[in-house]
Amino acid sequence: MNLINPPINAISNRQILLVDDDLLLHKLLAEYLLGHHYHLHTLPNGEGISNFCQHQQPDIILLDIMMPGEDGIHWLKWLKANHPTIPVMLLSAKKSAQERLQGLEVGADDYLTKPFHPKELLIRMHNIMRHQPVKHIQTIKIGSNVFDPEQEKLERDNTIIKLTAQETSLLRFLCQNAGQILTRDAISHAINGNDYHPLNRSIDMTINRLRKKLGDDAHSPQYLRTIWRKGYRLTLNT
Amino acid sequence: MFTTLTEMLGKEAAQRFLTVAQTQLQQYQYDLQAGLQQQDWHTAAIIAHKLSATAHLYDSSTLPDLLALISSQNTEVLQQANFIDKLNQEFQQITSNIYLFIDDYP
Repeated sequence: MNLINPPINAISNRQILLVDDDLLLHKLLAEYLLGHHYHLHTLPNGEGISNFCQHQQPDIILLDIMMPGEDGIHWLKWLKANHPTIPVMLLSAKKSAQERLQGLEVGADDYLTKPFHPKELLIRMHNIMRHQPVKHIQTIKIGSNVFDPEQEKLERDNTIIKLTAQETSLLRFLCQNAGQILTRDAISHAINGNDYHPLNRSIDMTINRLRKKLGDDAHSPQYLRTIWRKGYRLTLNT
Repeated sequence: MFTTLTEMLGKEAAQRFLTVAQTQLQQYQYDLQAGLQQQDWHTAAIIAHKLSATAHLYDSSTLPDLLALISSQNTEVLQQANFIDKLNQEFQQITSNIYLFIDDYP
């Protein structure tokens, strides 16, 4: 099989997200990848990743390390915590082995040093996407609910309850830390990648929606409890 | 002219890329010159570092070398009287080539 020019119908829906502040690289890769039937979405920094992934799931994310604000390693950690199935390739002009190792340790699927030939990028992306292992769906039991993070849904009494991407991210984080008190700061960092702002009520509103979907009593919740002046705690089995 | 880029993208896409590059390169030139004149080596190094990712596409052997010197903050060389002139000449040469390349489109 020709790796560089596989049949159009095999890849025409491939969505690539490039997160990099270099507008020339955006244009270069957009032109090159379009010519190979991939669609490139671009972001100039990591702040928009959370919002982007709430609306669509790219087949791969190309993530620059040196960016304004939080660096690529920060966003890689965030992606691995919130969207662990999306492959990530790090891009950087730095050549230090230490940085490469750090990225790979955090879970990057590959690492490409700039400048690179777009053909090399294409081959590496293809290899990652081709070798993506078949994902075993792992479900988590929360009382009488079964949470499926991959499918973004809950199931209770043979009824499927659809979750939004934000609700899924939050519930996944709570499950990963079940039994522990999680501050709003920790939750904001985990699901949005930024600090918690007291005036922003989105976490509390998402918690309220999750309680309803879990069938929890808003006044006396069993699973998702508010810990006064501290944050929230999820109990998996009451 | 721009053989690397043309081989990579084809002529039409190369022209579309260079149309965007024209404006971006002017901004890079301005920012680099300002950084070097103010002896703000760190800022100049960050800008040079970013441009290095695509500098090889303009078929200039000089631009990547000049950017490497700025990236490494080799102040002895950067403070030489003709360094900024050399850099500007290189940008001007590339910009002129881009004009010619874009104009040469039916």
